[in-house]
Amino acid sequence: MDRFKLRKAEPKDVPDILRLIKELAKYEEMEDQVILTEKDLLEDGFGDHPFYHCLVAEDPSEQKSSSNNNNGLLNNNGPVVIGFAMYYFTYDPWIGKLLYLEDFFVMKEYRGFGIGSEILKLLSHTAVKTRCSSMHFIVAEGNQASIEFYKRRGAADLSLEEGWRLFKIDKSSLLKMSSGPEE
Amino acid sequence: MANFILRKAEPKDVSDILRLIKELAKFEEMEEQVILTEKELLEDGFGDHPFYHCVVAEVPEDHQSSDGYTVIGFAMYYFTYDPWIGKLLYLEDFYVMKEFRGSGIGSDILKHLSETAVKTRCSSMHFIVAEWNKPSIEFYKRRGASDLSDEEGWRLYAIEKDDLLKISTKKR
Repeated sequence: MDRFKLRKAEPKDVPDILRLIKELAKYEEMEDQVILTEKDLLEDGFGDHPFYHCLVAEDPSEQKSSSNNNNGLLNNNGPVVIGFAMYYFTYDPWIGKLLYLEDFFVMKEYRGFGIGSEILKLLSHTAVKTRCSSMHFIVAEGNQASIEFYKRRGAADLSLEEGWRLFKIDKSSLLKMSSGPEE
Repeated sequence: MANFILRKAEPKDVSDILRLIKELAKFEEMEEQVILTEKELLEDGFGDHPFYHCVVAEVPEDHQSSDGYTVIGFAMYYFTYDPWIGKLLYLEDFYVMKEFRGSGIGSDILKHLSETAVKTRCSSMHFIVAEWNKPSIEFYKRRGASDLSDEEGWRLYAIEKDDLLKISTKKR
């Protein structure tokens, strides 16, 4: 683990963040569902009001090679980003602020070194420092490896214990509701 | 038919918001679990960085509730982020006092939230519902809601503060 470095993401990390989001989506066989762009990630994460926060793990012993990206700009030489966590703050009306862990991924070849544990440790520290009562996140019921990882660290399944189910109302239905007739 | 208005919550609404949070918790038989205070609600919702937003439903004084209140419904929401599609509106709490139900206040609140979601370029509205809460599930399904726990197998997990402290102080 000493070989790796964990730090807050910066605007320059946005291409790597998107790359890792897509790698995680690919692992879930959903890669074509990632429609977010680098521009969205930059505005939404590093503007006046960040909608998310990121931690990145990098391997200083690896160097990116100079190459042109789509905009014809040179990528910086520098360590390779090999893992990340995306989180934001949510609010529980009974207890107040919570830290919500949205995405968490370490590249396959870098697993087993304790990077994931270190990321979770830093997230836990952030949660305590910002006076959050708890960290929440969702896990797919088929993902036994992740469930075990979290349970070893004290995670409780609130869907099981309290019967919570996650619902969504998609944009087309939101549009219908917002422009529809009065009931 | 109740005469009511919907408006953004202001600092002065904090005591009503807490009252309604407690009423909803009571409905879920969890009232003693509300440890949040008016001071925290004020700091967290109306400081430099709001951690939540609220919309309240208010009736005129001559239509006040049987216990003398004019703020008779609320919704608490905030913005979350989906790494595949971007911003989402997350509906956290949503409650109308019993004596004011059936007048379309809940529908109007949801319509207002939908407008907010579209206006702020959110791709979707997310929320959790307890599996036994049939009336709420029906209310949402009528409006196009789908159960992602059912469709995609998502389960909500929590790591509480004492375990967070353990994790954050553990030697490698």
